[in-house]
Amino acid sequence: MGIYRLEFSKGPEVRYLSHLEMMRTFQRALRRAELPLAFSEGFNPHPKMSFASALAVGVTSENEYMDLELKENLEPEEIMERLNQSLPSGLKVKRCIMLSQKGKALMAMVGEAHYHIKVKLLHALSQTHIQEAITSLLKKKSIIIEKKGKKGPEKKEIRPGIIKLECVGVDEEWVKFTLAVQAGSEKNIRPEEVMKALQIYEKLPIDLELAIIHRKGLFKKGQEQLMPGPHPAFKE
Amino acid sequence: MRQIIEEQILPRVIKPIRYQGNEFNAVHKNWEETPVRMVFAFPDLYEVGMSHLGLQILYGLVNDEPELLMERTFAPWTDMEELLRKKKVPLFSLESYRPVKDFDFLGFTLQYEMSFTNILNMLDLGGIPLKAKDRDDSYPIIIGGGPCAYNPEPLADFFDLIVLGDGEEVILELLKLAKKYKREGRIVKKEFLEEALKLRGIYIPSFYEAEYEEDGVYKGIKPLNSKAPVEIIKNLVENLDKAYFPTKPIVPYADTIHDRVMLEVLRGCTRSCRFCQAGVLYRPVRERAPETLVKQAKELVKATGHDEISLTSLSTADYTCVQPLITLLMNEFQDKNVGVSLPSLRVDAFSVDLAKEIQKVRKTGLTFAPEAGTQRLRNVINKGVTEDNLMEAVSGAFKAGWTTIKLYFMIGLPTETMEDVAGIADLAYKVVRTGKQILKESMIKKPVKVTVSVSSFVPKAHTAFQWVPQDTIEVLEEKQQYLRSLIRDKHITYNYHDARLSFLEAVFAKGDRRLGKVLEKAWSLGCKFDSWTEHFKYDLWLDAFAACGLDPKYYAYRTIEWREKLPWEHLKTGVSKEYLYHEYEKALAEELTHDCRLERCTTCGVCGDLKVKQILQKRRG
Repeated sequence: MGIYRLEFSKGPEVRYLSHLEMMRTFQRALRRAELPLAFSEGFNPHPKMSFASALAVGVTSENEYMDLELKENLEPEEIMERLNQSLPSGLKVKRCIMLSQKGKALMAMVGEAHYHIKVKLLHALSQTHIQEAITSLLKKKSIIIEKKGKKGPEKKEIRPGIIKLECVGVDEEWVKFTLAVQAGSEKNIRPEEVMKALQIYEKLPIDLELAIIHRKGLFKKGQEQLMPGPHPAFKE
Repeated sequence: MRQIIEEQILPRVIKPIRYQGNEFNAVHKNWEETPVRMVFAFPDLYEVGMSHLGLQILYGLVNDEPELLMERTFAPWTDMEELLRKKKVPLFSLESYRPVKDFDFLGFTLQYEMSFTNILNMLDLGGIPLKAKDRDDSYPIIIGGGPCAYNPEPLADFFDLIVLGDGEEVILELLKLAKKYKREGRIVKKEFLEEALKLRGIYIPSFYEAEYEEDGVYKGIKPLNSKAPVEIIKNLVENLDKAYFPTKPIVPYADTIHDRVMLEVLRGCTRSCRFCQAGVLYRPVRERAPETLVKQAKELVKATGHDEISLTSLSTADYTCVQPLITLLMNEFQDKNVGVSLPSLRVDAFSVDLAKEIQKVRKTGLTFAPEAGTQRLRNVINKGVTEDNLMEAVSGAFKAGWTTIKLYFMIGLPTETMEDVAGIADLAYKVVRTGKQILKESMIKKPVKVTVSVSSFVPKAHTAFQWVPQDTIEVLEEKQQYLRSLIRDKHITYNYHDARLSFLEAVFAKGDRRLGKVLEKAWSLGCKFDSWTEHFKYDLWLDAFAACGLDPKYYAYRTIEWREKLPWEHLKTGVSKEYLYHEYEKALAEELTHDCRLERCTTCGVCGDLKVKQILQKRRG
């Protein structure tokens, strides 16, 4: 038996996959790769695999993580190679390591996520203007946004979850942000929610429907690595 | 165009993956280097179309040929349509995001009558004139195939060419022929169509004219072109075991209706239910060998990664080697956690035993279709099922641990009385009682659940009931309500279909060329996705009929006389009209017809006239 942690990217080709579709896509790729999958017990056996975090429809990502359990021990390189041959274009395993033992659930370890966001401006604005809006927003002690809940709209406090927000560039139509937020089971802030706050609180004229969101990194609390070893996101 | 779609359209629609076309095993061929190009059009939503085995077969077949390419397009959902129109982006193919207008062929599959408005809508979205006569050589050739191709008369104005029967041989001949008629990038349509007549099962509607009596009764069809044959005979794959099958079907990301490997074990069915059109269209029965199927299953699981293999056909329990096949598949796949499933069960104990064998763990509901509530009426429709068969089947199911049973029935069948309708409720109660008792004996605490689904009978062309009038909407609704009043039990869920939709289905199933203008009118008034409850606009349909001066009741409610010509008579399934009429008479006399797999030939005409043979893998003992 071997437990492995995989780091993979989700490219624009598969950006519209929901989390459920993503899981199914991996399950099928694993079968096509003919890896010796370990299955859960019970009425409806599933391959034993778990993702660190659900990525929203439309969002691409550089670093996602999953744990995978196999019935046999294989070389991590072999798993990576076989899986990459079976994955559809847009999904790519970048690293794979063997874990010494089954630890804490991957999902419970996630604490922070970093994003690059591109949004369309409804009319031209300077970078200074946008940066001022950000400063003003972040000064607030409380930022409440409305989100869709199970029983109609719900209010959500997002201010404590925003770690860092910066405007990194503006051209005529598009404005670019970098964002670091709290993520994971304790509290999960979605990038759209922060953009919505800019729109509502600071009246920033942005078209959220056409936002291009890219997840740059996923970490434990305090930007600690989910997977030991050099992290590509740090090369910058 | 790709940029507009990707940047401005897809981010704004529900489920953009419906329109992406980069699924695993999707084929992206070089456009410039491939001389003949076709786009396969499914006139319904992606999730419905991608569950269609025919698409996967033709897609693989055509794309395996170096000189041909096939891409796909589906009916865009209304949000997508709105954006396409707003941004002036024409309907495009999923693989290369090219306007469908750029292809040599646009081929629609005609699966059910109530998707016809979507065909017109897709042509319009594609910037293609609806009528064949308004399209010059700069437009693609619009072709159609599938079950509704056997009465394509309501669509005659819109299609250039119709293909009858199994498509996997003739499609290649047709596309290869087209290459010869391609000049300066377009096919010279008239020359090509005339030459295509030499192929089997090709019907060119514009080469014929329909004639009617003064009182409006259909008189017959007259060829306008000297090369056009008087009758068109369907295509038929003689040996299914040797026929092409796609080893690398597309694996959708989205959750489609049939999200599994579809293993076609046999084609055709000769149980001879008198209401069933498929039973006539796909004759004779042709089975694949178990060894072939196991080999195909292995390849398919390897190429798709699916965890379920569905043994598809019109009636899989009738496959002569079903037992050995299931054993072979279970041995092969059990420890890989790949399951086997049967799409529908025959109403008998044998089928339940099969289901038991393959569903060792997952106990979802079981579905049976007794179709009618009394033995008398089941004899009329030649559904060779007795109440004992049903009770044995459900007892077996309850004993094996199933607690949910779904029963399919039809109302409005010929000769039906209120007693027959009440018989449906009686059967449902009997199943509940049996279930309760068995579950009590086996100490199972779960409650029995029985779902009774009742559809309204639609007389279809090429069946023994093609001469029969449909029950009126009022009568059907009365029967639905009567049944509602009889079924009052917390263990039984009762549902039924909109009778108005069944009425329109009957009109088009037995329609003639005059309905083309109604279709166009209804579409222009806003009808589309008619089989989707939220989009069905019956009033607009009535307005369309009124505007065209045609009475839909004429098509659905009239008894057609034996001496009358039928608008679909020139399109030959191989089953003779005499045989069908004899079946109709036997129905009225409540006489049964046996299955020709079990006893002697029933002389339906297929094997003799089309010079083919039924292929069974094993003689029954």
